[in-house]
Amino acid sequence: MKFAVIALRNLARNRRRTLLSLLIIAAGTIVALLTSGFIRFSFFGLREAIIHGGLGHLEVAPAKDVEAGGASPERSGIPGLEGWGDLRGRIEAAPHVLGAGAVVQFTGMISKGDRSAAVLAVGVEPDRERLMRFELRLRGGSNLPDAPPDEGDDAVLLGATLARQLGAEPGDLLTLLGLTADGALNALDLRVAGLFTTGLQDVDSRIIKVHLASAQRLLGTQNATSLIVGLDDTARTDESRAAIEGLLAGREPSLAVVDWRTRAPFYGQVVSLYLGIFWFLGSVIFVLVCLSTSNTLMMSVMERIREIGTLLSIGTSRAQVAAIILLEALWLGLLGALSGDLLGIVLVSVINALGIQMPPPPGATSGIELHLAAAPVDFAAAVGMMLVILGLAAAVPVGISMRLRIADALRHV
Amino acid sequence: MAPGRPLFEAAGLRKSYRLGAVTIDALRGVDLTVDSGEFVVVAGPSGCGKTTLFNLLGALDAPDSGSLLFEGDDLGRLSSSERTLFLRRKVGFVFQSFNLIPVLTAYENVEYPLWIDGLGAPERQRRTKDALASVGLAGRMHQRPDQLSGGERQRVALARGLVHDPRVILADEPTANLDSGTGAEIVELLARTNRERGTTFLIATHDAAIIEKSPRRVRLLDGRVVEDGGGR
Amino acid sequence: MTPIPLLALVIPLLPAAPSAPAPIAPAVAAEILRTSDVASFAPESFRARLRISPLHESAETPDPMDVEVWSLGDAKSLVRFLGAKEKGKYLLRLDGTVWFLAPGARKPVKVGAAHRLRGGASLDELLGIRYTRDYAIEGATEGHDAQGPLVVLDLVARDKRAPYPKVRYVVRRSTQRPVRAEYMLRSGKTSSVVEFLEWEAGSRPVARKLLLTDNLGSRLRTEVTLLEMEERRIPDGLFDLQDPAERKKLEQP
Repeated sequence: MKFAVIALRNLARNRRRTLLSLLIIAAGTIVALLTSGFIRFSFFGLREAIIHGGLGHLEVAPAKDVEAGGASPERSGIPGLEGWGDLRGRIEAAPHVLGAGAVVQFTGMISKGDRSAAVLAVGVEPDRERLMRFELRLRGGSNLPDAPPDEGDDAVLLGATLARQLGAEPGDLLTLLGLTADGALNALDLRVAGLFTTGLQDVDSRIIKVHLASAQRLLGTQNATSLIVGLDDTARTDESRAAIEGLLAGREPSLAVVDWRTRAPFYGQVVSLYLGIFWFLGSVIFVLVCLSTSNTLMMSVMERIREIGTLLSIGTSRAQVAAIILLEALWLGLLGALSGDLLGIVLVSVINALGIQMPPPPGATSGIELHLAAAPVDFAAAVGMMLVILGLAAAVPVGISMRLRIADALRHV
Repeated sequence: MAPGRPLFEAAGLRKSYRLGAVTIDALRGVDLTVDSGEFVVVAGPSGCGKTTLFNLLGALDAPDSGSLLFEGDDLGRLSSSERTLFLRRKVGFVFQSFNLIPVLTAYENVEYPLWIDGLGAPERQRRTKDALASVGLAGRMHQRPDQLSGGERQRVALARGLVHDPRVILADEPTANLDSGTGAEIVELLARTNRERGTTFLIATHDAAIIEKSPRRVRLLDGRVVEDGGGR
Repeated sequence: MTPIPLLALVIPLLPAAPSAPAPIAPAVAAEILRTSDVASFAPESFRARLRISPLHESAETPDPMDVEVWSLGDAKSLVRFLGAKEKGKYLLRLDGTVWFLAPGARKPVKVGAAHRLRGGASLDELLGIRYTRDYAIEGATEGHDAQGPLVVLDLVARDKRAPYPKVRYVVRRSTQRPVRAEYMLRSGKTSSVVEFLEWEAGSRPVARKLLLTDNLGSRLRTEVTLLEMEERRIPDGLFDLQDPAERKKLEQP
């Protein structure tokens, strides 16, 4: 305790130098907090955008289809999920399940006059999507109606880029060509209800959405490709997956439950990329703070060589002298990091209030508002990080003190 | 210690230092015996080896050759932990520049040796106050060194040197940075402490006033004892 | 026995070294092509019923499907799907362009000329290609199979936009009837093979059974069987892209 007091009082001996060190540490802490806040929000935003953009939290599909086509959301083929109505009822009764919507995925060719394009089509239940809190980013027109359309009344939502390529607008009549479940060619007229965006230009150029009933009409089947399950909390994904797998155990043909992480490897790639950037930035902060504070601590020790000699001569052990120097470093780290935390809270609040618009990332169709999500663990981690850095910064000054000869130190001017 | 055994027994002490490319022979074979309770002044011009001798006697350094026994124990062969204990319990230092810890008050400076030796708080408090009272600084104990005069700082240093009841006080030029009046007061304090507590004092000085009054004078010149008179 | 007499015994036992196929004179090749060009012997207008049967490879193989073909001259063909689920659907070929007509679509939808019915048979393969008119002979050589001598004609399309730039047309010498047609892409890769398995009795060369093999993608094998054929007058209105009146009459019982 006394050493901690001595260390703290030692910091006050050269206030200007101590203040400068504190500023450096606080600045490093703030950078780390802002970066982690940005990354944390980006992960949250991307995750929720992926899930509530239509992927859902879980997918229930025939196991053989998942094995054959993988977990990709673009798996298309003959819809193989029979009896999904009963299945849906049981799944929706499970805890944390907001809803389960049947989807049919298939490929086809959509044409307007002379223009045509290959498309990835998804047949959905708009009312279930709303239950699962899926967001539809309309760029014109309106959503598909909830009720299954009568024959001849089929509607379609076009990806915004696809619509531009076809020269199509809400109200236009297009024709969708596809293969039935029997392998026969079929065609369906669709009126454009609206245009939408997924946020990714590449996807917007080849995606269309129709009502589930329209898709089934074109494909000549009552089956679905899969059931998409939406939960009330993303953190419940693993728990809900286990519960639904329990419901489906023993069912023939067997069904697989795939979670959103497996179906969106893009998310994992983004996380890895951002974490790599974060660690790189952290390393830079580490080196800068460590070098600058090490220099400060070294100067402080060199100025007190005789005093250290005195401490040794009156019975202070070398370990105790090292502890004083180390405690000075840790005090700097703690006070600097706490200051950085406080300033960081203020900066985060200010930045979030400003509503700064970021430019669209590559491949995206629109920008996002800058928002930082700093969690309590980030503030604590920043303090921890600075304590480690300062502890390391004290290594050289401590080493010097350990090698001092008492007689030489007492003679030092 | 065996009854009648000297406190210090030094024989043929040699010590050299390198200063850049030059080797300085600070001690060239010093023989010295000091009994417990003695008041010994070690005199000599600057560079004669007084400080080097005191560093060896205080186990702050080790001789290159020769033997140095303290109460029969070889000071040149102490381990690091043995040296730390020796410094905490057996010897006290008073330095020319006082060497107080600037961030500690007078009280805390004096208390420090007791604290690092693990003495309990009540006993620490009692002995610290007694030590400060014995040097006449009971009313200034909460001042920091930069708030004390030179004489007061040296008194604090003496109190710190005595608080743990060492066997010997090594005072290296204790009055060099004091005016003559204050210096005389300090010398009187050292002498009185020697009389009242029986603490052995070795004082390195070239202050004539101290040399004259000392019962035993050891004179060093060029690293050798050229005179050892009075006292024993 | 000395080595030389031993060799004299062994050498005749060695299999004859393969020799390069003997070329056929261009005039002869042209005549063979003309006489074996099945499509050129088809009636000016006819109706035929065909069964298209993908050969069972797995549980996902589609069921057989019957179609009715109405053909008028070279340029106009109508394929009507006869299955209950396929009622009202047609493929209409007009001057090389293929249109799909379905009850769910008010307007015809253009599909690729290489569109495959039931995944295995394109219209060209079903209705036949006019080799004499549309292809030139690039090479002609002798060949053999178990049933006897063959003529192998390497044909190249006269029109660079033809779906099959190259065709290897194999004809049996003795019957002057095609055995096999290999349709190749510009790269030389074979995209599909038609084997002529059975023939209708009579002097007109009408294939009763074909085996189509898709060499790209699905690798499906499809058997096409001629169920019936009649030479008859065909109303031109059947091929009207915009007016379905004549076609609707076909759906009436």
